[in-house]
Amino acid sequence: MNMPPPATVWQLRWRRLRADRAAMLGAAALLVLGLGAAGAGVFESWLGVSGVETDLFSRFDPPSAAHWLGTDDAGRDVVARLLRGGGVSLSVGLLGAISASVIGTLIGATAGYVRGWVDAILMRFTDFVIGLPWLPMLIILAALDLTKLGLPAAFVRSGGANFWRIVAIFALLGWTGVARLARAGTLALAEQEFVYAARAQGASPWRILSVHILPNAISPVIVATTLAMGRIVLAESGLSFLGVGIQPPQTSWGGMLNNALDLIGTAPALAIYPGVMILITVVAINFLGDGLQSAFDPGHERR
Amino acid sequence: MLRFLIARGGGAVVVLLAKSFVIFLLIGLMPGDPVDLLMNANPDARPEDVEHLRAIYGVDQPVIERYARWLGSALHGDFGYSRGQHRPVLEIVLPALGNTILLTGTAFVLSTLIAVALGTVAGIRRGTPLDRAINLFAYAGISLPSFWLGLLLIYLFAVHLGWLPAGGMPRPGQAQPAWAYLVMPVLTLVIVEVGGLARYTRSAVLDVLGQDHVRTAHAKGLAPMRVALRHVLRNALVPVVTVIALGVGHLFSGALLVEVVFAYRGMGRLTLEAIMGNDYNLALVCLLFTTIMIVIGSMLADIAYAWLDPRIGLEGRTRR
Amino acid sequence: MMKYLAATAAVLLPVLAGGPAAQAAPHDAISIGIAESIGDMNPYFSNALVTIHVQAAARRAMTGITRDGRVYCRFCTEVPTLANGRARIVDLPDGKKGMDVRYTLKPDLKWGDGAPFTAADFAFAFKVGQSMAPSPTIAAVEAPNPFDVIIHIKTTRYDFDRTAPVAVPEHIEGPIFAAAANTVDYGNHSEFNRHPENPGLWNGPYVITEYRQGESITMAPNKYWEGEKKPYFQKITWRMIENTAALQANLLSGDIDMAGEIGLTVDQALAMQKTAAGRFDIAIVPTLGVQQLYVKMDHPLLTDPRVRKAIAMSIDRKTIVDRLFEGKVPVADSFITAGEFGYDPKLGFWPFDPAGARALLAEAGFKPGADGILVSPSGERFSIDVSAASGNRLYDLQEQVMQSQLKAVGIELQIKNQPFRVLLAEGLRMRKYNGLALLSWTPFPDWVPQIRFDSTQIPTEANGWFGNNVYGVADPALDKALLGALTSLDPAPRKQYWNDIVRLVKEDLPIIPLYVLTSQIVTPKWMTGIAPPPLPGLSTGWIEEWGVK
Repeated sequence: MNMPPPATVWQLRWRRLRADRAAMLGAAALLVLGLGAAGAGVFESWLGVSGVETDLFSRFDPPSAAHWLGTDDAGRDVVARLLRGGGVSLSVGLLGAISASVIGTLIGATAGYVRGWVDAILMRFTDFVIGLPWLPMLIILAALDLTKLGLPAAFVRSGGANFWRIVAIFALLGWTGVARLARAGTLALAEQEFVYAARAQGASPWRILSVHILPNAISPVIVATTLAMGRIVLAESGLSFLGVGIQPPQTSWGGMLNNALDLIGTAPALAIYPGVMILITVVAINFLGDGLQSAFDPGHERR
Repeated sequence: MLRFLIARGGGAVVVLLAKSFVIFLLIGLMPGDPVDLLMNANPDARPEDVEHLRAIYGVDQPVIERYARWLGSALHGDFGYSRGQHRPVLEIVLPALGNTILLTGTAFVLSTLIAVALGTVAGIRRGTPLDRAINLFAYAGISLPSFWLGLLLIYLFAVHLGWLPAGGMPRPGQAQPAWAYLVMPVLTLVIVEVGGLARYTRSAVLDVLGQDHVRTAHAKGLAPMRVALRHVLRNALVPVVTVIALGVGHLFSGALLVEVVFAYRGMGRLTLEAIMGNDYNLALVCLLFTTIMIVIGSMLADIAYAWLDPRIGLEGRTRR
Repeated sequence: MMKYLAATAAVLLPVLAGGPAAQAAPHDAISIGIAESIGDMNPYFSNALVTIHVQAAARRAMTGITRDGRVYCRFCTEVPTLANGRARIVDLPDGKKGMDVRYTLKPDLKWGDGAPFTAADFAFAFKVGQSMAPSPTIAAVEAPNPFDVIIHIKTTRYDFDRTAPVAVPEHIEGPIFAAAANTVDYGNHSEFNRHPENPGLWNGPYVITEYRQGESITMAPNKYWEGEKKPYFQKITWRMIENTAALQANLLSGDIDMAGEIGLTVDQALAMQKTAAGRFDIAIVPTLGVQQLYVKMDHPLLTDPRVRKAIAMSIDRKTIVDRLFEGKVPVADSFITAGEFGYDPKLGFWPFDPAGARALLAEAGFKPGADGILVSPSGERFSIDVSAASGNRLYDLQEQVMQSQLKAVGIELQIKNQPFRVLLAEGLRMRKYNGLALLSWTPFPDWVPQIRFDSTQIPTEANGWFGNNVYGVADPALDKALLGALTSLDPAPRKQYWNDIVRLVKEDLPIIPLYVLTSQIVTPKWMTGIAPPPLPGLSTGWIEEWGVK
C-alpha cells in the first residue's frame, strides 16, 4: 500500500475546499466575524463608542454616524455590543467544540486502539452520556456550586469563572459524537499495514496513535468539531434564555437576544440583530463544515 | 423479537439505574435544600424547627443512604412527593409527560415525513433551483434559536394576524379549537428539526443513487420518481433512521425552550421549574422519565432499522 | 412507519376532539396572566406572592389593612382595641406583661361548601401553624364558643389587632391533620393540595372550580360569600405564563384579558403605555416594597461606616429611576416608603455626591492605586461583588449602571449573579455574598423589621445559618429601638422608636435603598373597579369590586 505524503493529501483537500463556494463564503463570514470580535476595542476607540460603559442618557438612540445601529437599553453602542457578544459566543463555541473534540478523540482513540474491556467500558460510558437529556443537565451544571467541587474561591470569584463554566459544560456533555468517530477511525486504521509495520519496529502505542493513526483519522473529527461549534452557539443562546448562560457584564448574542425579547414592543430591532448574527454564524459554520466534509471525503457527497 | 426486547430492556435498566444515581448526585451538588425555601416562607421558624424539618425530609442523611432509600421506594412504584407542591410526583409528572409526548410526537412524525420528502426530492433533483431552495431552508432552520423563532411566530400569527392562540394548552372548552394550540409549538419544533434530517436524507439518497442496482433500474427505463420510491428511499432510510434515533433526546431538550415560550405544560418546563425551585424529588423523576423516553425512542429506532434492512438482525446486528 | 403513525394518531385524537366550545357571554368572564407558576396551595406551606395573589380571590383573613395602615374587620364584628375592651393587658406567670385579644365573628359565616365557619377553624389553624414552627409571641388561640376567637399573646405588641391566624376549615382538614405522621405528611395529604377545587376550603368571594397544575386555575363565585358586594365576573381564569415576553404577546393577541401585579416588568408596562394605550389601561402603582442593596457590613473593605456612606453617595438613584423608568417610579429614601407610619420625610437619605464620597474614602485612608481603583489602608484593592438573581434584565441593567457609577469614585464592582435558589441558599443564608446584593423586600404596613436588623438574627454556622440579618448589623441602639417599636402600645413613643430605627439604618447602612417597587396592572379598557393595592399582589383582596364599564 502506498501512502502518499500527508502534505499532498492536505493540499488536495485544500484545493477541493477552495473550489467550494459555499464553504469559502462560510469561512469568509466567520473570519470577518472573528476579526470583528477581536477588533471590538479598536472599533470602539475609532468611533468613540462603548459596548460596556452604560450611558443612561442615550438609551434607545436611533442609528447615527456614531452609533451605526443605535444604542441599546443601557445606552451602549449596539454594533460594539454585537462585536463583543460575538466574541463571547464564538469563543464559547470554538473552545467548547475543541475541548469536547479533544476529550472525545482521547476517549475514542483509546477505546479503538486498546480494545477489549477498556473499549467496552468507554463505549458504555459514551452511550450513557449520549442518553442524558442535555438541556436539563446543562441547567443543573450551570447552577452547580463550583466551590463544592473543590475549585479555589478566588477563581470562582474572578470574572472568567462563568465563561469557563459554560465552556466546560459543553466540553463535558459534547464529546460523545467525536469519541465514536475517533474510535471507528482508529479501529479501521489499526488493521492497516503501515501500523503493523510501525508496531513491528517497536514504536510505542502513544507514538503509533499520535503519528500514524490520529492524523489519518482526524478528518471526520474536524468536520464534527466545526458543526459542533454551531450547535454550541445555539445552545448557549438557549441557556441565556433560561437565565443560566453568560452573565453580565459579559454578554453573548444569546444574552443580548434574551434581553431584547422583553422590549420587542419598543425596540424590535434589538431582538433582530443578535438573532440574525446567530443565524449567519451557524449557517456559515454549517457551510464550512459541509465543505470540509466533501473536501475530506470527495466520494461521499457529490454536489 | 422477544429475546431482543428482553436483552435491550435489561441493558436499559442497568443504564437507567446508573443514570438515576448520577442525576441524584448532581442535583445534590446544587446549593440549597428544600428547607431553605420553606423557612424563607416562615419568619418565625427557629433553628430547631429547621433541624426538625431537615430530619423529616431526610436531608440530614448521607447521599448514599438517601439514594438507597429513594431507590427502594421507587422500585415499589412509590416516587414520593414533590417538596414544592406536596403532591405525589407521578400525579404531576404523568400529565406533563403526556403533553410532551403529544407535542414532540407530532413534531417528530411531521418533521420526519417532511425531512424525508424534502431530502429525497433534493437528492433526486440535485443541482436544480429546487435543491438549492430546500438546502437554504434546511440551513436556516437548523441555525435559528427556537425560543426566538417561537416568539416571532407568536407575533406573526397571534398578535398581527390573530389566527392562532399565542400559547397555552389544547383543552376542551376554549375559544379556539384544541388543535390550534398545538400548531405554533409544533411548527417551531418542526422548523428547527427538519433541516438536519433533510440534509442527511439528501446525502443518503445521493449515496444510494450512485449504487449499481439503481443505475440498473434507470437503465431499464423506469421513471425517476418510481425508482426513487421503490429503490432509493427504502435503502436511504436505513442510515437516516440511526440519525432519527439519536435525535430523540435532542427533540426532548429542544421542546423545553418551546414549552417555555408557549406556556405549554410539558416535561421540559416542569423539569426547569423543579430544578430552579429546588424540588429535588420532582426534578429527579422528571429527568428519569425523560431519560426513559430517550431509551425507548432509540429502541424503537432499532426496531425500525431491522424492519427496513432485513439483513440486520435484531440480536447484535450481525446476522447475515 | 405506518404503525407508528397510527399509534400517534390514537394519542392525538382524544385531545383534538375537544373542538370549539360554547363561548361565554361577552365580559362576564376574565382571564388573567400570571408570570409565575403556583406550587403548594396550603397557606401554611407557601407564602409565595403569586399564591397569595391568586388565593386572595378565594380566601380572606379575619382582618384587612388599608393603605394608610388602618386595620379593618372582614369576618369580625369590630376591631379589638384597648378602649373597647376586646384587647387586655394581662400579667403572665413569669412576671412579664402579655395580652389577650378577643374577636367576635359575624353571624352565619359559611365556607364555600355551606359548612359553618366558626371560631374553631381559627384555633385549628393555629395548631397547624404551630406544627410547622411554634410562634415566638403567640401562646395560644382559643375558641370558647363558635363566635369568639381569643388570642393569647406572650408580650405586649402594637399589632395585636391583626394577630388572628389565617383560618383553615377544620371540618375538612381536621381529620387529615390528626392522621398525619408529621408536618410534611400533612402537607402531602392536605385537601388544599389534593383537591383545591373542594369549595369547602375557601371563604372568599370565589371558589376554585378547576386546578391544572402549572397551567391554570379557574374560579367561580362562592355561593356562600358573606360580603355585601357580590362578585361580578362569573368565571376567572388564571393562566401561568412565566416568560414575560410571552406574557406580553398573550395580552396583545387577546389570549388573556389582563396581567396583574405578578405580570409585566416596569419597562414592558412603560412600552405598552406608548404602544397599546388604546386597548389597555396600564397603571404603574407604587407599593410598600423597596429595591435595595444589601451590604455585608463585616466585609473587610466595608467595616468602616464612612466607606458604606461613600458607596451610598456614589450611586445616583434619581438618574437610575429617571432614565430606566422614565421617572414613573419613586426613589426610595429608606427601607420603608413615604406614607408609612414610621416614615419621616425630614430624615431623607444621603445625597448623590461623588466628590463627597471621594473625600470620605480619602478620610478613611483609601488611596488611588495604579489602575485608578482605590487601595485600602491595609493595602487591599477596593474590589467587591454585587449579586442578584440571574436572568432578570432589569437587575442586570441596574448593576451595570452602579458598576459605572462606583468606578467613577474608584471602586470596582464585579457582577456575580446566581440563580435565585443559589443566591438564597449560599449567597444570603450562609452570608457568602461578597460585598453587595441587589434584592427587594416588601413589608406589611407598619411592620417592625426586628427579624431583619436585630443583632440576634445574624445567621452563623453555630446557629445553623438561621436568621434574616444577613447584613450583619449589630447595633445595641437599633436593637432597643426595634424592641420598643414592637412592644410599646402608645403611638407617640412608637413613632419615636420608629424614627430611631430609620435614622440608625441610615447611619449604619446595612442596606442602601434604591427605588420603590411598583405593581404593573394592565387591564382591558372595558374593565373597571381595580384599585391600587396597598401591598403588591393584593389587588385581588378587592376582587369583588371588579366589573365592566
